[in-house]
Amino acid sequence: MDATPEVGAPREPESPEESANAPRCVICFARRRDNARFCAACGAPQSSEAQAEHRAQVPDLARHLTIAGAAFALPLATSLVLMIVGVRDVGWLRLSEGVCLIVGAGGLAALGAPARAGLQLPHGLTLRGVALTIAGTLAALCAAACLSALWPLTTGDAIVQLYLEAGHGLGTALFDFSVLAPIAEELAFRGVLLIALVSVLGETGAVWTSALLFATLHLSPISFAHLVLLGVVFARLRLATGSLYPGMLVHGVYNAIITLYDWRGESL
Amino acid sequence: MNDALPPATDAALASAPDPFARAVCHGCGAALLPSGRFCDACGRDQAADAADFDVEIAALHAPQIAKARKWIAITGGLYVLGGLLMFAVLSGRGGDSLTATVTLVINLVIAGIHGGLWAWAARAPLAASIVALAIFLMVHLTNAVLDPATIVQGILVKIFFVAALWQGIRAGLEVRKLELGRGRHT
Repeated sequence: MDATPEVGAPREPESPEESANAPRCVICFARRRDNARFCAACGAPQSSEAQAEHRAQVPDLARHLTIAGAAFALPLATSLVLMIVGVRDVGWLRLSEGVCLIVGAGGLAALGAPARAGLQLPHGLTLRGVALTIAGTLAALCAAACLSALWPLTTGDAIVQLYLEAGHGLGTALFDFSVLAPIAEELAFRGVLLIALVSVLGETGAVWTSALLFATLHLSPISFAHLVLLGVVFARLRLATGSLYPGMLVHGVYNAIITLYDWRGESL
Repeated sequence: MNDALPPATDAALASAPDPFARAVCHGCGAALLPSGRFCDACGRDQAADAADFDVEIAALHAPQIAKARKWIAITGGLYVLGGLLMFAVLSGRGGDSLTATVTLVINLVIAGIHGGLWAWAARAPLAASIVALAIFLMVHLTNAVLDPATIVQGILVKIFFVAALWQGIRAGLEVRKLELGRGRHT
């Protein structure tokens, strides 16, 4: 380390290539070799080709964090607007899923190939992965059922009531919660938020952060723990299989069970 | 990648004073300039291979990261105090005990989440700061929607918290950039 020159400090010529007429770095003005692709003093790329290579290797963290922030902020803003205007019809509930779909589509376009890879068919899911997914989902279902029994405020009773009042049947509720919601939320959270965070935080950090943000956006502190668990299961599925579809499937099954449970309780 | 510059030959390595330490790039094998910190063929930071590099970059940003972690703990403590205070006020009025209990439980849950984030911040300060800021925004924007009067309540604490976390996130990003940059093109 001691022999390393300070970044930006011009070096003395050390070889015939480093004559007084040798080119200088475009950033720190240190002398460099004619054919150098990077500056030896500051590491800056010296050609458009090297710059493109550098960008491909070192992702733009601020941009990825901004995309992740947008994927969190837009659904949050929608939830807050719905709180202000008041949810008077099931159409308002679909609005937040619509925002998630827009966030998902926009994010996939902005993040490029790594995010769009999630639209491919799944591969590489091991028996251990399947077992962990089932165990995690069952644990979350048990937690939701226990909370529902102990603390009625955590159930989806109010939402089910909204469907009943609007004259919608169980089929409509199941379509909204076990088809529309998983597609929209998986696109936004695992398709965009998770993938944007992977380059910023690494895989483990991104999995936990996306799961915590997923739980946060549900605006239910009591359900926070099992929503985090679900978020981890869905994120691990996305990374293990390289696809969003297994997560959508498990998310849909989970939501269908919860919807049936709440519907039965409300109809009795 | 190395077509522009010749790779180090055996003769060059033999004549170099310390061939394994600095003569060739650890990433691409191209010959290094004796006083250069970076490989001019692939851009890899040669100083990054030194053992003290992690210590150096961590020390550079440690104050902001520690400050963010401290504010996560302070905020968690404030949720505990706020929850107890609101529980006492709501119960003291002889009003709805369910509302008082719900308020207390929600505050304690959020405080518990902050406790977890504080512990996590020791290992992953950037991730914990991002989540803490997101939860803070969610909680206070929701409160503001439900009761606009809460916007100005504890405004100084809110400003300090957001500023500290913002600095922590920026510091964490800088550390991450350096970590990624030192291993680039490998």
